[in-house]
Amino acid sequence: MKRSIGITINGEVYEETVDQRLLLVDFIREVAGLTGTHVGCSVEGRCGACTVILKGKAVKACLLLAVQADGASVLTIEGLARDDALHPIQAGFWEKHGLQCGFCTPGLLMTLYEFLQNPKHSDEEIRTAMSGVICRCTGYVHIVEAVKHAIATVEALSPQERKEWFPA
Amino acid sequence: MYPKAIENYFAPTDVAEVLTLLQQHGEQAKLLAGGQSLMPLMKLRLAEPQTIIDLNQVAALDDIREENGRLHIGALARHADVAAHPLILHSYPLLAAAARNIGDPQIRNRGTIAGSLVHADPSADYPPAVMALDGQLVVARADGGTRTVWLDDFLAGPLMSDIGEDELVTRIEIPVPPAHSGGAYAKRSQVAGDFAIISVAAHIALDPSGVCQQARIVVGGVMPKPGRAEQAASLLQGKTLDATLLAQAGEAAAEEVETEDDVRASAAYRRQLIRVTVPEVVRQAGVRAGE
Repeated sequence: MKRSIGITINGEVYEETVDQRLLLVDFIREVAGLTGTHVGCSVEGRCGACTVILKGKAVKACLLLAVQADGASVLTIEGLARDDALHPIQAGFWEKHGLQCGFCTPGLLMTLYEFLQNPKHSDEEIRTAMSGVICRCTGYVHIVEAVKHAIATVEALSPQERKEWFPA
Repeated sequence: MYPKAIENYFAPTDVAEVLTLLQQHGEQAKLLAGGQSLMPLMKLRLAEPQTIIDLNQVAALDDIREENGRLHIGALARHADVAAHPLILHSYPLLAAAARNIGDPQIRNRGTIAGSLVHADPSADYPPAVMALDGQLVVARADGGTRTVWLDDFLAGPLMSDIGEDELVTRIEIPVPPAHSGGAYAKRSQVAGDFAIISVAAHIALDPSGVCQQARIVVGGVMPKPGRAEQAASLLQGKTLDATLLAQAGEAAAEEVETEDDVRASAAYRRQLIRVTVPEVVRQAGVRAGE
């Protein structure tokens, strides 16, 4: 029924004895107290607000059991910025007003984190990349602008800087 | 939303261990692969397994390679890996297209090919694609035996497949397509990332002069499982794929594949989509076969 697990989230290890049915998203929010990862649809994994990076891949944390991530590394929205500097993806959203209510934004940013590790993309590819996160405010136009801004920033980074911004 | 309490959670690391666990817990156990369908079903309490056998730690179950004239795809190959695999993009573009059409990027990062086929959603992308490639499943049994089954026979109905409580699909096998052959896949859906209203997979083999030698056309999004459009396919045999013939094949497929009304679309709308999508997909498959 219960199991002791340890998950590294944004470089910090969180250990807890949890119900085996506990979802990864609830471990992140309730055990680790990192509430930047949101729960939208809560059932079928359609909304994408709970997207996090698990072993380098964007995944929906509501479709995983926490026990499945035992011993693994997770990156959440709280792990993007460094000190006072916004991550290039966050800076793009800031510059181009890529959000309104902001509920879906953590999911979008984490989805784009995997996508922008290879920053050369067409407009269509940008839109396809975002198809797993539903935004009900913006109509996506400003988000695409924000992503393009972020792409330009990432392309201008040195290999060393890129590694620092995309460690996972 | 929470799943019902899970009594036992196992994360075995090899196939033998999975089979032993199935033998011990088979009746109450559910195999967890990508979890992109199972987890929602568990939250809705439509599935309430006491025991979860998590396959994600099993080594070497996601291999993709050609061997003895057949493509082997490990059961745990993720949709994203199938969609981006150079060999599959080059020689099995219809399969890459089906994988690329599934859900969204996050779902494709987790979902697995065997998971999709065992789940047997009639509107899923893989089943018609793998049928059009004459795919088979290799199934390991707890008693040590294995069996190979055509996907056509494996799919029993909506969300029903021919998998025993003590069995594990270990890989999918597809014959390497002959020279001058090609395939294509297209899906019609309401919104991005959705299941199909209808989908069409076609595989065409031409002779060196461009005459169609063999055609396979499969329509998904119909009940109780994807259907082969045999008459449409036989129309193409021995002929050159021109626009008139393709339109006739579309008509034949719309006529022979049975459609039903559901929340996504009416039976009549489905027929119309089949009528216009079959020619487009067969044409694309024919072009690839001629390249």
